[in-house]
Amino acid sequence: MSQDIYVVIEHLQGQVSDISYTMLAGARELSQATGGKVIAVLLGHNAKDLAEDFAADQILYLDHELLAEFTSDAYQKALADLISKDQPRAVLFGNTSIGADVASVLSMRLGLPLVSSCRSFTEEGKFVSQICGGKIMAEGELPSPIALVTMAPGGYQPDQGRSVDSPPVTESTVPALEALRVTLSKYIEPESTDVDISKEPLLIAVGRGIQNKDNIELADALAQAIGGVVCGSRPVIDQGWLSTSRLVGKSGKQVKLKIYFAMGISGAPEHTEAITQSDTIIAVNTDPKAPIFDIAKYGIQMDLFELVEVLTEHLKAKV
Amino acid sequence: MARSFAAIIKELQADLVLTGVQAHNDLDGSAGPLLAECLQSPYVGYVSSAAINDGKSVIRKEYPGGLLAEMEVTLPAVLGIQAAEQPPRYVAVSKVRQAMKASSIEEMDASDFDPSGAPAVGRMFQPEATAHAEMIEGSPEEVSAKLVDLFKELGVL
Repeated sequence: MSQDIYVVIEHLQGQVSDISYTMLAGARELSQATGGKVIAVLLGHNAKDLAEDFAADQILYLDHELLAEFTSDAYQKALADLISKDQPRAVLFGNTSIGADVASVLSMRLGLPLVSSCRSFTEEGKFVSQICGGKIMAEGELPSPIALVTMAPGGYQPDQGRSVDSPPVTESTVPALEALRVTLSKYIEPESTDVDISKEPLLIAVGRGIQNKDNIELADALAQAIGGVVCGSRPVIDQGWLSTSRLVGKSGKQVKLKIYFAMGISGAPEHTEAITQSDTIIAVNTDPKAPIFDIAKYGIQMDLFELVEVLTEHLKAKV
Repeated sequence: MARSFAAIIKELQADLVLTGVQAHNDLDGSAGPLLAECLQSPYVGYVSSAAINDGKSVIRKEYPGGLLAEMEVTLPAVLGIQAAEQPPRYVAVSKVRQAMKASSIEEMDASDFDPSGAPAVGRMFQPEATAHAEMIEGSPEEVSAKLVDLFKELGVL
């Protein structure tokens, strides 16, 4: 049993994800309350080079050819073995496509409590999680003696978890990984025929508030008038109103642009986490309490349909 | 909940169990993977397409940036579904009524709830927004004029 905080590093196709650095920053804060070390846990194959900028006290590296790419089954087996042996105070996972496939399963397998969607830790080491789409925070004591935690972005900046001098890497043993029930066949890259919205300087983003497919034309006309491109949040993509390549959000693209003009987007965490790096966010929403107004620089409380055509005309007249 | 479902699904001997990835409200995302572990089945979440082939399910899992991973999952399995290949559509009321007449709903006893493993929440509160947008007020005409000025200021016009 130790007071150490383990951070399961997420990486895909040779790139360490931002959430890994966010978690290292959170682990640092938590370790100050528990008095333990921050330990980055890297699983992979010939992937030691990825451990070059982790703000951790130690790096544990688990190398196995079946850990070369993420699969839930292999990660669960390797991590169940490590957690049982080392008994750290807490293990942090991303609340992501990778972390979510592993953390809950380990919670049941090892009989350990799980804290979900944690955004930050208090000075006393309590967890603060977001619930109700980020509108309410839930705070509690970190369960003892070992807690599993999935972390959402927003509480810490990824740069807080980066360091120029990474600590030494210690190799850890990997258990037998036979009879895996999940195997990776291949990756399928997104189609590149469409515009790459992550490279656009100005996006007109539409959410559920756009109501139907025909109304996308209104957003298109506005985008053309100002020289931008239309993108959407998850509900718009799932309805087939815009193609997947236009999805901005947790499972879509992260954007860092000059202007993000959001219409009818409430600002659920899984969307906003992908846009906070933008220079200027302008939001149009009928709900004055919509969370999008907390991250936007400028807000307009109005029905988007009252505004969009008038604004398009104004832009056409001025350009 | 996962334990209760598992008790019933074990009896039904299902080859494939589909759950959502996470609820809109709490974004917890635990029901699918907890259920899978109760059933000793593999779990893959964020799935946007699934097919059955020769005792295995061939699935596509979503990663950020539009990247997909094609994976093979041995059955029986639990999959967390993120999206469908086709958008969901409304079912005509007449079809719903037809189904209500033709099919029956079988009730099964849930086992005793065992909520162990969930962390205790000490307090809940509304997040204090560190900042709030500067609101642009006025009629649609006035707001549009102000936005045009703003776009010029930001150098996009």
